Amino acid sequence: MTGKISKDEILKLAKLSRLEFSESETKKLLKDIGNIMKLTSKIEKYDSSEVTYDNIQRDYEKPEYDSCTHDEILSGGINKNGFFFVKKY
Amino acid sequence: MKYNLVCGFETHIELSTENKLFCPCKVKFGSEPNSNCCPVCIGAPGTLPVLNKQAVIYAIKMGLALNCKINLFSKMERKCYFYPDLAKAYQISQNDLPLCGPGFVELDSGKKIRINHIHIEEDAGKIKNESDGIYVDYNRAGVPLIEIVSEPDISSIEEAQEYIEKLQLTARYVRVSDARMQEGSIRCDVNISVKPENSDELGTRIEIKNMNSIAFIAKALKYEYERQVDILESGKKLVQETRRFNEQKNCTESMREKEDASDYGYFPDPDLSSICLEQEKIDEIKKNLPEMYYSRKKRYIKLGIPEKTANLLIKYVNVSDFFDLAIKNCKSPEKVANLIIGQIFSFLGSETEKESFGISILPKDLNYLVNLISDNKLNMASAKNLLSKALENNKNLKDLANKFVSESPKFDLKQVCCECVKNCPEAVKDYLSGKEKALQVIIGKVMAKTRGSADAVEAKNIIKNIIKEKK
Amino acid sequence: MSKNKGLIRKIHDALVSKKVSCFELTSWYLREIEKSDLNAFITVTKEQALESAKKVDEKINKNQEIGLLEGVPMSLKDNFSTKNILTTCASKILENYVPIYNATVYEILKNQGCILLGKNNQDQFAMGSSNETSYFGPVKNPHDKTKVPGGSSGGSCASVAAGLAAFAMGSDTGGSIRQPAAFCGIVGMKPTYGSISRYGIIPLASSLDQAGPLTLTVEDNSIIFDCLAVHDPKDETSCKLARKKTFDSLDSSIENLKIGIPTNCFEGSDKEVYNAVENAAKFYEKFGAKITYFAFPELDFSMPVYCVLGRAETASNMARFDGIRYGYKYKGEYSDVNDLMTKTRSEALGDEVKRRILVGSYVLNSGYYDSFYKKSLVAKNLITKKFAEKFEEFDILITPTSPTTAFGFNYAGDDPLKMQLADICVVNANIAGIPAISIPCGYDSNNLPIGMQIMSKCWSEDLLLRVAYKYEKENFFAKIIGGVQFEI
Repeated sequence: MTGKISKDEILKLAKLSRLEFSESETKKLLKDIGNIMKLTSKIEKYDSSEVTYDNIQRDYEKPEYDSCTHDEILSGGINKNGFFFVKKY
Repeated sequence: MKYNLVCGFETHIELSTENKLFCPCKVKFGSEPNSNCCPVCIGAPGTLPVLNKQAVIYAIKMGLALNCKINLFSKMERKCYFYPDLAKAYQISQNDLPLCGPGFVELDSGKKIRINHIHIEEDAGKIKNESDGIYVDYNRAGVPLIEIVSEPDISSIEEAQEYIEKLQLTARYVRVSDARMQEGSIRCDVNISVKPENSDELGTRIEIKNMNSIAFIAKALKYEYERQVDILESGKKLVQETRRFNEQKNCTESMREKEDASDYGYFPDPDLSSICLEQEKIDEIKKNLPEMYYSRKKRYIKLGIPEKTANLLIKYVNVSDFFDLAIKNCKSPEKVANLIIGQIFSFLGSETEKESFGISILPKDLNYLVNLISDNKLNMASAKNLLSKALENNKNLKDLANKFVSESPKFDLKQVCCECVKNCPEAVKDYLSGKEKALQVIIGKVMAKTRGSADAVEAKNIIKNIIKEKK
Repeated sequence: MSKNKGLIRKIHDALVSKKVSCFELTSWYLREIEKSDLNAFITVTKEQALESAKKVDEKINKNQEIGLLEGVPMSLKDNFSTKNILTTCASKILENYVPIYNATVYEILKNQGCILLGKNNQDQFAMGSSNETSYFGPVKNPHDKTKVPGGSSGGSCASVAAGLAAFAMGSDTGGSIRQPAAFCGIVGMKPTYGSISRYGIIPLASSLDQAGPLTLTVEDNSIIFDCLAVHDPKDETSCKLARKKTFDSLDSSIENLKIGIPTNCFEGSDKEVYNAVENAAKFYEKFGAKITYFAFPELDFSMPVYCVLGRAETASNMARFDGIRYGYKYKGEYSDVNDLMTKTRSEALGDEVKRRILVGSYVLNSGYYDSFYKKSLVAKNLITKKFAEKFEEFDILITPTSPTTAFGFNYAGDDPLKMQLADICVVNANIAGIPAISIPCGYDSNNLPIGMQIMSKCWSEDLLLRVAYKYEKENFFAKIIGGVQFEI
């Protein structure tokens, strides 16, 4: 949590998340992340090596599902010959 | 300056569990696209993963067979990136706490290729790139995979080939996968760098993907080694990148800048609990593992099986299991082996059929047949014919053999040989004067007299002895 | 006024005694929804609702027994997957998305015979506290249409408060059931994390989300909770314990409660809210309760932890919306599939959604992972531990649900964090996984409802509901404003 976040970093993160931001949106984001960094600076005192993960064992029980038809699976996206299709320009 | 090859593999093996890793879809390979999917594996909003315990057990088996430490506590993580074949835009995998810790694969030379870790993860779908667009099929999405990451201990192309072959064998022997490269149930990405002979510093690491056979791996490594050496010798620098192997051009081509692990945004998957194992359970699994290929091979060689034959026998676990049953109390295991790799293999033809080894012959019947040979009731040539007949016509081998024996002329081989020796004084003289070939005349007479039923090798020995005695 | 029976039991009695048919009742609700200008619904399932109502009437006319929830008209927040019924999460990116399966919650309620009236408007992907980030426009508060109903389950709460549904289901990640329940003057409970199946609920932050009932009375909440709090093998985070039924012990005694009041939650509250909640807490003194004020400094970390963990999980949960398998797909030209994804997401995801995704991505990447994410996990564990300790000292904790009553539209202006800070009292229960309920405890001078929040330790919903029930029995503030009227 050192210093500010740069505009370049925002562009890199946006690309990673498949998002585009306008100039004004980017300005807002810089401010937003800056505020979050301020807010979260309180957590800095914690030692990340103390992290534990939930280790409550949950037995796997085979779930019962309703089956879906082939057509139902394809019903949401653009479907060509049974495949999900993304057109090339 | 001589450069050394430094090479490590990341190998993905598809587990042959009944269901996919996180949903109840069957692990089967349908020809119709998107015919083996459900809301969970196409990433429908709101669906949740539920871990398939069988996949964890399969992964543990593989880990134990590769001499790995099994971690009693491991967790599932989300590996986030965008690609059309990744339905949730994250792959559920493992990161800093994988299921299996360090282990090794021992090569025939005795060298150990160390394994860094093994983790479980789900497979992505398949993309078809056509001229008009991208076609995506999620049949494969969610299939359980284990990823075996080796240390860069491999230092030759032969070692690389052997390492992969041994991983295949291991997977087949513990019966967690059929590990066929052509079908994609085992896939390898290789990391290769070169370093000057006297240097300890590792060179720039380049990843090569898309090698669909062990032969292609060898070709890719050879090409890449030469390419890297060329670049370094001309004073230029190598770019760390991912390359793909081009089968048609027999070379490697640049793919994309290698992504930093940091760009994957790994974090523990909040929908799944950690995997907590008990040592007793792991010990139980270990106890019940089938005998591995390397111990079987040692055993076969001790029985007098030549190494080449032994390698063929252990290549598929079903063949080896059959062989082990067939040689119980058998007087000549080598004959059994020869009949398997001879008659039976040529009957089966394809590798797939050899692997499944679905023949109508029972191991004990083959055992019976070979014992007949050893008891001189049958010769090898006849045995081979009978076996082929039984296979082709789907008949019971034991019955066929018994029938043949009962119909064969009964003779005392020693007596017949004596007679023929007596009737061929010219041949005997020729033999005694050094013409080995003269024996064939006498053997021929024996075979004619017994209508082909005698064992020619046996006859030759008896004839030799008779002549020796007579002298 | 007498408060013998909740709304569900009143409806059940009316149906069984044939005072009204299910078809009539459902038609009334549908008519009121059509007339309403609150914008509480995105989809109204008119034909299906009437069909279901007819089936219930068939059973009643044959004098067959019907269950308590059978024939009761309800609505679901639009992030509950409903097979063959549009499910949008109030976002353009799902404006045409029709699920091919049912959320377990809906499956259970459907099997109980509830009538689905439609899908409620909400904050887009449950991100917000005022129902203003919806692609389908904001929802109005029935008590005062110039005010927000709260969020993100704004539409669900407004429906119940305005007599447009007998009860509704909402989801709560950082207060999204309780805060709008307080703003709309109804009862809203977030159960212990793991109580109700999350299968089929389009997630915001997977380790914090829980579904919960929005009802007019505590009794109604208890009935619905009892039927939904069952193990679901399709959800690995779903609790395997067989749960105690809460309905049977609602009226049991609650002598000598040890009540803790964390003072940090009261600081910054409006004076009227402060007074109303404090008085409400004092109600329990006549049963021998002892109230202790105490400082709970660890709560200072709840909001930062919520921001970090929540946004990280959200960024990853939102990544699957790329237009390829379902949902909106960008209609113009694009250079390659990555460009398609980028254009689809940038156009069809709301501003708040995109903002949170980016912050989440920032949290998860490289150098920041150790500082942000792991440390937040450490802090989360600490907060959970502290709450467990407090519940050894106290039976329940009481705070205001929100520091203010319903605010006007565009309250936060240019500062999204201001809105977030309104959740300062409610977000703690999500971090610690504990159950929490908001019940109405009065009105301010503008006749806007004030909510009291009660929290108890994990898995103790029976105590929580019993405590709430006792208060409500003698202090009933909930009102049905317009819509289908019932006397309770």
